[in-house]
Amino acid sequence: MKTIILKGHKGIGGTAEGEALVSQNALSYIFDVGGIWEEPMSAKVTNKIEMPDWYGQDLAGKVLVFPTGRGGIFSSAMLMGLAKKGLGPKAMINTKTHPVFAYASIVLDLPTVDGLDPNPLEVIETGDWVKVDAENGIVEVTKKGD
Amino acid sequence: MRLTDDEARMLAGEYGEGYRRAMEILVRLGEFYDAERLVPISMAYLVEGPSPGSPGQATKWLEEVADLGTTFKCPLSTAPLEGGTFTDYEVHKRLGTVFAERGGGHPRNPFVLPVFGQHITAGGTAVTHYCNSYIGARSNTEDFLAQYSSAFVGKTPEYGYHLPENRVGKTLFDIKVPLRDETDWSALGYYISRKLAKNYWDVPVINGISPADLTNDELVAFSMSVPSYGAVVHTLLVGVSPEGRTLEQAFAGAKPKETYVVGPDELQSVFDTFSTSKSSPDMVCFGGFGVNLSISAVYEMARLLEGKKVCPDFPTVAMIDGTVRFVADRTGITDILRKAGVKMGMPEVFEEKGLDISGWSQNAVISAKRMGWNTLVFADAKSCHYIGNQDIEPVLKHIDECVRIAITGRIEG
Repeated sequence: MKTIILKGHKGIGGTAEGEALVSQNALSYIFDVGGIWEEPMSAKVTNKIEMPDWYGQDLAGKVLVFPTGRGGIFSSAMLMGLAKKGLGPKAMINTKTHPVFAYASIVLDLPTVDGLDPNPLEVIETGDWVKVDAENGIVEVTKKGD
Repeated sequence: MRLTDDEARMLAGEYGEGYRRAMEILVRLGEFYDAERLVPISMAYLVEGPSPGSPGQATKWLEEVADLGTTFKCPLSTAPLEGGTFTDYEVHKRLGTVFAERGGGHPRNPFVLPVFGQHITAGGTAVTHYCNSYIGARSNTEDFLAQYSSAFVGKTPEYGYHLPENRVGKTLFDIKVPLRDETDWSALGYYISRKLAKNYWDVPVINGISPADLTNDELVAFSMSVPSYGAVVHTLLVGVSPEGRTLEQAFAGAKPKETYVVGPDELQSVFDTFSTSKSSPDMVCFGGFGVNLSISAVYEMARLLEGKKVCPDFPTVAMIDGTVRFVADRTGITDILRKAGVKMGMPEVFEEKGLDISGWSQNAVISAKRMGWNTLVFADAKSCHYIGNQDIEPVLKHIDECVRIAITGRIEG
């Protein structure tokens, strides 16, 4: 089984593992996750134009790998609202975490890391199994199909 | 992070649980961003945070903290979201809020403002951007709970835009098109925001505009829209921003990492992005998501609508609040708009329809979705952007065109 280790500085929160969802685009919980407005609420991505590689995907329970957040302060409120209903992600991996997302991670104790080497956007693919140890800044990736 | 003895004691809970919670949030954030220390803040401008399905969430958290005897340590101005939780002023009084004004999270509050060089915490990207770019105060954009924490402690971690080296310009935007009103400025903001979508720390430098060619309200309109798509909360407008008096100063002598030219085609592309083939709108909205009208825009609307009536087939709504509403009410402007059939905010639209939707209904965007409205005309690019991905078709038009559409009921004249 092929395992890749990525190392960075201490992140937010503890440990978590799950299936990875990878995007090269910046994420906003208010612009992109239209599932928030649905009844019942879901963490589904509805923004085909600005988040095409995640269109139709459900972000709940996944390890989200994306460059950074975008937009304003509402992303954290929306993320926290979803997390309260058990629809939050398992962990977040960024190249550089947007402060609005960092705060949500702190309040939710959601394992979040950035500044990893090698670059997670080049190494991790959607479907890989990822273990995040935010306390020590270590990510372990098991490639899918292994 | 190095903490002073006092800060360490607060983190250990010696000043009470409320302060301990606040300090814990600040320290965890500071450490994540490699801040060396906390710095005192001169003021806080906050937006109350909502969450889907449970509006007033921030109020509950504030009530808990107020019960613990926590109060704000610095002058604070708060702009509760339109119609959201302003009735919870009681909790703000307990917390020692200096001034609470309905302002929709934008910098038209004339009372608590920072000065150049001050560290502050500013809630909402529009205010953060305005204070950074045009006043030269220093703020990051953070979540509402974090900002409240900074306000309770009176300090914030020194990272991001609190550090001078991060405030230097990185990307150049050469403006080669006249910007004639707030709508044009909001279109420029959207354009820049889209170009820099993936980089919170990129500081755009805008060159080619003289201070004589703009108004404060246009800078506010720009502040609302430039963080909307991406995450820009600090720009240097050459000749206007105190930290960008010249192009040289804006880049601190370095070369821009990239240069974009913004000409008539580029600006028009924003209007093309927000356009429709439909012949009539489902709603015409002046203001929208976190956007409220300037007094000039309100006067212009009244001038164009006086003695006329808007088309009865769809609602025409104006978002006017705070001090602008105060002036509009007392100068008879609000009456002129009402006589023309304009609704002052979404609640009046729903009252007329005999509906009672609470919470998010105050927001034009969310209401539209619930009502099944599809083609919405706005005078600003931020509102267009905020709903453009929810299967709704926003249309960007200048104020005079919005008024024409509201009266005739036809999008193309």
